[in-house]
Amino acid sequence: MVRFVVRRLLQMVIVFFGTTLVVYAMMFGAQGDPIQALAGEKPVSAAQRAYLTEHFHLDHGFWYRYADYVGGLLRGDLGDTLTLRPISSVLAGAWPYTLKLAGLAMVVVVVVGVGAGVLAGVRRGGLFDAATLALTLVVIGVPVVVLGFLGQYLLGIRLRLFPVANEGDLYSLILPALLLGMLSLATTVRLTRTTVVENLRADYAKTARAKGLSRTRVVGVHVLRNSLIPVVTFLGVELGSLMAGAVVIENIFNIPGVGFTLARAVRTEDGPTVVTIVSLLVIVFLVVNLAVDLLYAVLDPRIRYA
Amino acid sequence: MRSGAWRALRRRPVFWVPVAILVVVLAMAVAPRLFAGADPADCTLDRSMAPPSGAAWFGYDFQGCDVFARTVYGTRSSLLVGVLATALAGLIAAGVGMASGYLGGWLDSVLSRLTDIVLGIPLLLAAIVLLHRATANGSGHGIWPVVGTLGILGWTTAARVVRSSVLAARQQDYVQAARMLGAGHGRILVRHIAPNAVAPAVVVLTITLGTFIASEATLSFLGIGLRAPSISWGGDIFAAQARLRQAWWPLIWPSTFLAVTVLAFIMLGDAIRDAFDPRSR
Amino acid sequence: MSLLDVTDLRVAFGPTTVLSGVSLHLDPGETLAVLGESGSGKTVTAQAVMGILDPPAVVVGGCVRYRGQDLLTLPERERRRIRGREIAMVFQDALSALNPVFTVGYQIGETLRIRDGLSRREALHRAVELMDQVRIPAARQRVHEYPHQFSGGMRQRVSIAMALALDPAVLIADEPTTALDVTVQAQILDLLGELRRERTMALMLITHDLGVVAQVADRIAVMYAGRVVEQADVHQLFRAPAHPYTAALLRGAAISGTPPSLRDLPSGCAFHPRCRYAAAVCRTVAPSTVDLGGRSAACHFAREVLVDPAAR
Ligand SMILES: Nc1ncnc2c1ncn2[C@@H]1O[C@H](COP(=O)(O)OP(=O)(O)OP(=O)(O)O)[C@@H](O)[C@H]1O
Ligand SMILES: [Mg+2]
Repeated sequence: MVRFVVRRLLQMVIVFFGTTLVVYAMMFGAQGDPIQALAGEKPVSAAQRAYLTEHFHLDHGFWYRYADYVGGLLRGDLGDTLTLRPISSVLAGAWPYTLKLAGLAMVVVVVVGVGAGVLAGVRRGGLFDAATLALTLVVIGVPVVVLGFLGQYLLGIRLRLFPVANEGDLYSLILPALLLGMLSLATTVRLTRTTVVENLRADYAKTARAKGLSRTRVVGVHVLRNSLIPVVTFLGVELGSLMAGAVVIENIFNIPGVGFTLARAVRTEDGPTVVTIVSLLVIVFLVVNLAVDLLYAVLDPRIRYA
Repeated sequence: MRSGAWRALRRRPVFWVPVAILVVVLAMAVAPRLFAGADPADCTLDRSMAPPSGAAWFGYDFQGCDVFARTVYGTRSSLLVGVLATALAGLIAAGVGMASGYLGGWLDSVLSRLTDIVLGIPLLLAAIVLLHRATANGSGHGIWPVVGTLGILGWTTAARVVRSSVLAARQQDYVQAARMLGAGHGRILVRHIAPNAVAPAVVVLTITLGTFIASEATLSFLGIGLRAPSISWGGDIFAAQARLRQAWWPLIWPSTFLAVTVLAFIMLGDAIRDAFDPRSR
Repeated sequence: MSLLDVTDLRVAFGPTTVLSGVSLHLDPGETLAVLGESGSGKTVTAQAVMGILDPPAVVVGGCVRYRGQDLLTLPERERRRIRGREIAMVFQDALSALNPVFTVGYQIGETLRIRDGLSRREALHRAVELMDQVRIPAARQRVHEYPHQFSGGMRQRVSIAMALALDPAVLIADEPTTALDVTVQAQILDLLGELRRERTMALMLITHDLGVVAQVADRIAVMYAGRVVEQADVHQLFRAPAHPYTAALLRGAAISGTPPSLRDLPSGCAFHPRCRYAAAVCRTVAPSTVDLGGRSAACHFAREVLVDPAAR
């Protein structure tokens, strides 16, 4: 177990530097005027230019700047926006919204997705299975932009079941979370179904039946516990698309979260903020996946005692 | 394509439905005039937000442009971005996957780690950074920056698939035999190994094409994808959403077209995969 | 009356019939070896008796009587009560037959907790006892380990302990030693024999190993292509087989021809293309089971084979 954790931590260090480097290089690498990259298409005065050069160490080489930037990230110093406000203070108010939104969406995904997937797997070939397969294909195919508006229009504006814009409370986050979760939900259902079908065929499921256990117990304890292993891994990876989806959903519902802040930075062409937020999101993604890997070891003793 | 898989495909509606949809979509992209009578650039503010009527079945948007005409003309850029970006991603994937799988060794390690890292960054987030950079450096808001961005970021899954097919093919007896007989690397790759990677890569790339079209719409929605004068479904969706309470029709049509097109590609990819691997059901 | 009585059991996988009338019986406390080459339907028979066949396999005919009661007509709830408590089963590959994510103690004690209402502690205590009984050393510590941490032989002992938990009257062991190496095989067989004696439990031992049969069995049922072709006391059978297939097996000579495909069984007697005694009738009429007084065989020429010195 200890060796496993150490190995994963080492891997993560490599991936951390790799990804931050890639993100940073996408912004500042290769040719082009870095000041213009930072400030976008806006005209930049000579004074601003001098200040930005100084502030972002643009007179130094790429590696020096990258080191400076990563060093800042590691110390928790996120740097400043183009308008020189500390990015951390910009984000301070935004995190809670996104956390709540993503958390709610995850709950929806896990509860509904795993539930429906198990049911479809157990009743393989039945009506519920066929309906879920068709429905999930549609949901997977419909882009989140469309899904977001469709949900907002139908459930919010038409049926008035939910508020259509953020009102600061948890209730107004339910509809956005539902829509955000929808995408991962569909894939979760399908993955769960597949692994449940596989595990139902496994010898140990036969053994469990031969012991005289009820079908509910065979599925609910023996099969489910094994089926969760790949599903949990998938959910970790899926957090990435959940974060990308949050950018869209927060904009549709005017939720002042991290994604909303990122989109605004994109529109105001605020380079430093864009890079920092994306790096942060990527780091969160990495950390969550590390956590998922550890959870994987908890769920699967074959890894724990390898 | 293996003839068995093709025979399995031919009999299934899940294959023909998306194919039919995509043929129509393709026709719209090639000859939008055939589908929309109105000119998408013919906009006057005095019919701003006019609801659907006999003259304009889909109504007019805020600018007073015909929604249907804009939606039909938007097909071209969406499809073009999707196809070109997929072609780029496919090329990169083929190069990386074959080099990685065939040559192996340290090159394989390096390329595999690179693939892991790029795959580990959510596509949309990376695209935002890269596109921001591209537009800021004066590449404009046409289709090329979007194509480049999606292509450069979206090759990873396909590359993994190519790599594992190549690895599998390399072990085959006939490939070993060809090598013994002194066939060159190029010949072995092209004649014996590449064909094995085609089917799985096509499956992945078909689905990728769908996600690229969706990504383009999302990026345009966020304001960093295509911009006027390019007509884009994502851009139109963004324009329409601000006034969703006043009128739904400018939103519904581009959304529907977008959803149906993306869905068709994903269904097609699914159908092809099932045909090649019946066990996956 | 026998403890377990299988009569004319038929099982089909969709259009393919894999069991075409299996009849055998098991008396209290005895060891019946079910012998047959790979694909002859031994596992399907065992699982049909347990009632754990997976679709598309369905029982299409016959009956399975346990203490006179036909199990096939019982509702699932009643049937479940029989499983584990009356008839238990040990599988061929213990690694895949044990759930990889639960400790062996949990899996051995599970039925005791769920079905007998034992507490977690009591169940664990019982699990240690059972592991002792199947001679797993250091049971008290190992009860907390996972299946993959055990060696093949120890793992099979865990399976056996699990099957014994509810003290069944019948234990079906489906090739319990095939996945093990030779020395371990002998130990497991000895263990099964001892356990059977201690508990006066009937053992149905499925195998394709004649050596195993000679060592532990009281009676033998020989299967070929989805049928029981001969059933006899072990001494009788080794002394004088009544079916040409058994005779060929005992001679140890390679049987000419290939095993039949169930999809496309030979007409008449399924064994006729490989049979030394085959005559015209064998090609057209499937032989019925002939009672030979305390033993039986499904062959048109059973009586001739029985007295043929060349068959021994
Ligand atoms: N799931 C299945 N689908 C179709 N046919 C099956 C299935 N399982 C078993 N069979 C067929 O049923 C027949 C009997 O199989 P069974 O497993 O009972 O043989 P066996 O005597 O136990 O052989 P072995 O010694 O290899 O364990 C075989 O011909 C096999 O091909
Ligand atoms: Mg078997």
